[in-house]
Amino acid sequence: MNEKPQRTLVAGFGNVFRRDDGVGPVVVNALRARLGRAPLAPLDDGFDDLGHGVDTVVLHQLVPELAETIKDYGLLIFVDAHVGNLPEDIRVEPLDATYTQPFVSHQIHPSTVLALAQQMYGYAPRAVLLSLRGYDFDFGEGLSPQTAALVTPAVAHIQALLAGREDAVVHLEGVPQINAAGQ
Amino acid sequence: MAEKITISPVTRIEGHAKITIYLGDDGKVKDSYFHVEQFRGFEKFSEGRMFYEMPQITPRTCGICPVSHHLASTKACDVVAGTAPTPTAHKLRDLMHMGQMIQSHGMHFFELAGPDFILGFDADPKIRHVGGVVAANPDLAVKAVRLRAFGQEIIRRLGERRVHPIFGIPGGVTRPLDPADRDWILQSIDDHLATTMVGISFLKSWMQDNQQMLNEFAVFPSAYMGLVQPDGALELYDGQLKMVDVDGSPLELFDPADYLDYIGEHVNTYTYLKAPFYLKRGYENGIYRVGPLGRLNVATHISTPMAQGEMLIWKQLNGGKPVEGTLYFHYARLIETVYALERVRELMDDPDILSADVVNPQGAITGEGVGVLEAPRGTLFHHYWTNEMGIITKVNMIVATAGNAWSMNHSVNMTAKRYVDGAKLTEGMLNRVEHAIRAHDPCLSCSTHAQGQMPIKIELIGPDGQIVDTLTRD
Repeated sequence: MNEKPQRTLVAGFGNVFRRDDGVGPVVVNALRARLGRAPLAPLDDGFDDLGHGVDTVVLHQLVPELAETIKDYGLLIFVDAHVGNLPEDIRVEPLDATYTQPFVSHQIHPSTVLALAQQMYGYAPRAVLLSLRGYDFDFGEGLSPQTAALVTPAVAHIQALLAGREDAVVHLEGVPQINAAGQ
Repeated sequence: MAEKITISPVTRIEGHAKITIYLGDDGKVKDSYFHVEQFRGFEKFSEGRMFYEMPQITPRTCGICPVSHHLASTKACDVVAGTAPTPTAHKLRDLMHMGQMIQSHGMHFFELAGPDFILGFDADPKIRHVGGVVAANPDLAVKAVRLRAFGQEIIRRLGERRVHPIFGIPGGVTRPLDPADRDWILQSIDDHLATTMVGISFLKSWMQDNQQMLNEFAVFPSAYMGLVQPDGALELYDGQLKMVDVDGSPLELFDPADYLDYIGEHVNTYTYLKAPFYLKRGYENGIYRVGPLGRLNVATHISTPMAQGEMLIWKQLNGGKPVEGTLYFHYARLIETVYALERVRELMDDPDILSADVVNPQGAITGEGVGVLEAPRGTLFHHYWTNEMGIITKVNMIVATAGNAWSMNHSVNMTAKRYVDGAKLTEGMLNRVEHAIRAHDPCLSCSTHAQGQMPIKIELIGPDGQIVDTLTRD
């Protein structure tokens, strides 16, 4: 590839019917609001509206063919929930294009999607996984108050990544993880 | 001294699934269990909603097989709404279901199970993954991803979404098939058949070279169940349910709506995954297997030519009797992929497929409906009860993976006893134990269900094997 793509893809994934597991799609819609766009409808995954400088999609879980989509982007931001064994409220980690073998079909890791793109298409975007701590994974719609409070600072962090993208990604490992107050 | 080895797969949410292997004093495997620690509560979650919401709610049970839930739910809603799909709508649902089978089966063989076959069960886990498959055969890997994408694209073109489609409605589907979509679907079927046949050729070669492993890897008798066409052929979308015995002799042939007369569900204390069984024989004598292995063992033949060519080979694997080896799930899965691709072409060539007559009017609310189909992992049941307004009062779902709950646990136990040596554990041993589950292609995120009262007992076992503490949750 002669010229690297400049566009950004924000991909929120999780099950919106398992409360905090669905925080990724919630963050995507909050970001869309900041960008002046209408939220994605409950059954709209966003794949029919690609082509912006910043695209947004939501997924129930990651799938191999996402590799074909991400090859067209310069920066990829995955947004997911995490559980209590990770201490940060909001965790941002850079991702390498490396494979991990899932136990069953439903556990493809974001790094594996990157690795597939790298190996099959010769290019993978720089990528980060931004995850928000979940407290309630029970059946139901809507976020717990604690996780809902993390959405706004998460969007602010995504905007920082978008605004100063080169610097934010290059120096990501030095960026302190942020708490619910966005500090 | 008894020792416990635990293989805990990395998951995003703790408490997903676990294999526990108990070693005896002699260091050999004494017993093993496959624990599913996360349960689905979609049945309770669905109560109080309007029945026609269910085809959009239940696909959220799973991100890999949402179409199976969508269509089984739609079938149940047909009955609740006192209607039935038009002939064209029936075929279009069948078409979407074939898209589901292609994408799910294709992904499993080439991207999940493939690394074990192509790179070896003992290969370094650093390379034993889909990347190793890509490196070993990049052309095949790209074609395999396209095979899955083809199935997904069929779903998207029919249902506007790749994952959670909007398509099935009581009495039919939301829209007819666009002629341009028909042409698009038709143009690449031969390529995808060729890709699948390469997979079959590779697997058959592996099978030829690994007869000993095939014959000792979780091989055991059981009954089997699956849908069949009126003439006994393999069926995936709509038909009668057939059960056969360990020797292949018929046990039952019944309307899926009557499943409660034939199938019970057993609760095991070591897992949230309920185990269904043949009611007349009771648990555990009534255990049956479902999914690709079960379906090919109950079907007499396959109605499409290329898949039937492989079916003839299948039927000779055990001298005309049911095939018992767990690793044969993979061969059956690829044969079904061939069938699904050929079935897509049959449907595309049907002159009725472009008809605009795709929905029938609804009738009076009947208050109850059952929808059953063959999901990639096995027979899937949706059963709804409603009040006179159509509000859901009760739901029962037997998800496909549950049909193989006992089989997975038994396969783990057999494989651990055969391959695991407590004195010198190797990654390859553990991988074989995991593969005993992987061969069934379980959907662990949707396969368990509790209705609020299912008990679970947690036993804390000390080094001497004695129970130290017991916790029971009701």
